[in-house]
Amino acid sequence: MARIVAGIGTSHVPSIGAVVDQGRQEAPEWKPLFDAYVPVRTWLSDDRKVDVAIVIYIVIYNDHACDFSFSKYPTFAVGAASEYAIADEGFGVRPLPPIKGDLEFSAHICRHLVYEEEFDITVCKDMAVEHGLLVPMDLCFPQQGDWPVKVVPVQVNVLQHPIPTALRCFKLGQALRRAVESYDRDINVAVMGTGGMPHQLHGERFGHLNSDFDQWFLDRIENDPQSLCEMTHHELMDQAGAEAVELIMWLTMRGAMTPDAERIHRNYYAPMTTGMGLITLQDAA
Amino acid sequence: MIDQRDPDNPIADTYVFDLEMSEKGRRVNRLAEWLNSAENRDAFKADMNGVMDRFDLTAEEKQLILDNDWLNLVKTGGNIYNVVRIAHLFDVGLYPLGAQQLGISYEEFLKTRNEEGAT
Repeated sequence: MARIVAGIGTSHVPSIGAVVDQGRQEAPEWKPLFDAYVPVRTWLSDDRKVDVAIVIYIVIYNDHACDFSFSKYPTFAVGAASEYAIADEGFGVRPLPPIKGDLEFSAHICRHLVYEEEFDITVCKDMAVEHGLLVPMDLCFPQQGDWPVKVVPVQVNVLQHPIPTALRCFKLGQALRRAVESYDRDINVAVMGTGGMPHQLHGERFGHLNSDFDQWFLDRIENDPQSLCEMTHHELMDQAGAEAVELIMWLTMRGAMTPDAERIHRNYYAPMTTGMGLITLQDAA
Repeated sequence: MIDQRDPDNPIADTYVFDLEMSEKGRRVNRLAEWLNSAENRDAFKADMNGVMDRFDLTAEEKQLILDNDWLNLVKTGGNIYNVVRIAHLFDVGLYPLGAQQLGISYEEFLKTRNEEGAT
């Protein structure tokens, strides 16, 4: 039976991808960020998590008007393909191998969400992925060559309001957990919630940071995610910046983990305009 | 129903991208999304006015782009990620674009950051 072996909350700041492409990870202003992922990578490759042939990451991310356009912007979109192209976000295509999918597992996830959970997702056969998904992959799997894991991309509209509520995102995570646990192949699954933390990129409030909020959010995502589910978009944007509303995607990851999941890693670094947060969880022993 | 937005208490200096903004910015956003291709970026650089006409931009929208007036392009409905795409074709990156929205120089902006080298 399939099982969830890890939950990861991580920022997906696009400048991280540029740093990777330029090989600047050791620069003093970037080293604190990349170093924080070293123990995470060790943990992700431990015996318990890779003891089966197939390891799949369900990555909750948002498209930034890249593969999807505002002419049709799906609220929740799930990939059902064996491969996902690297998208051109307006700056050229990054030199990365395509993301590998698992068609059979993706199809199961889609069927379960639609038939059993009444999550009427948009199912995507063609889906090019961008920094929202790729930067977390850069941070967790920096080695050269093909990606060591397969991915199910789960895209959430956090750009064009009305966007889904925090509670709805949490419930999607709970539904994803049931979908995984109803799959009968022996695979290990990790769930990644990406985005944030606080940032605002538009208007005269550009560069708004709120590190107190970040630490509070990291506490709550671990110990009291229900309280985060009650936050409105207004409260999130007011405290953390308009673009930080994407933190609701961390709640999907949290919903996929057990209520008493234990935290393994936590990191926070805010060098420029965005609080770069990291948390990892696993089910209590 | 819990109201997710609070129109009576707008967040200062913030222009939330909702369906009304998306409608206002429809032409600009369609053009910007079209720029997700090297060929189209080259076409834009070769003939900006021609491309902007093809996407039916208003005279005001065209002027905002030619003037690199990113703040007002946001206010007129340009989604920030799309405004970044357009600014890139004028060799303006995210942080200089941000400094301009704040009305300060890029150098001044960097001084307000925790690690000004982390660009």
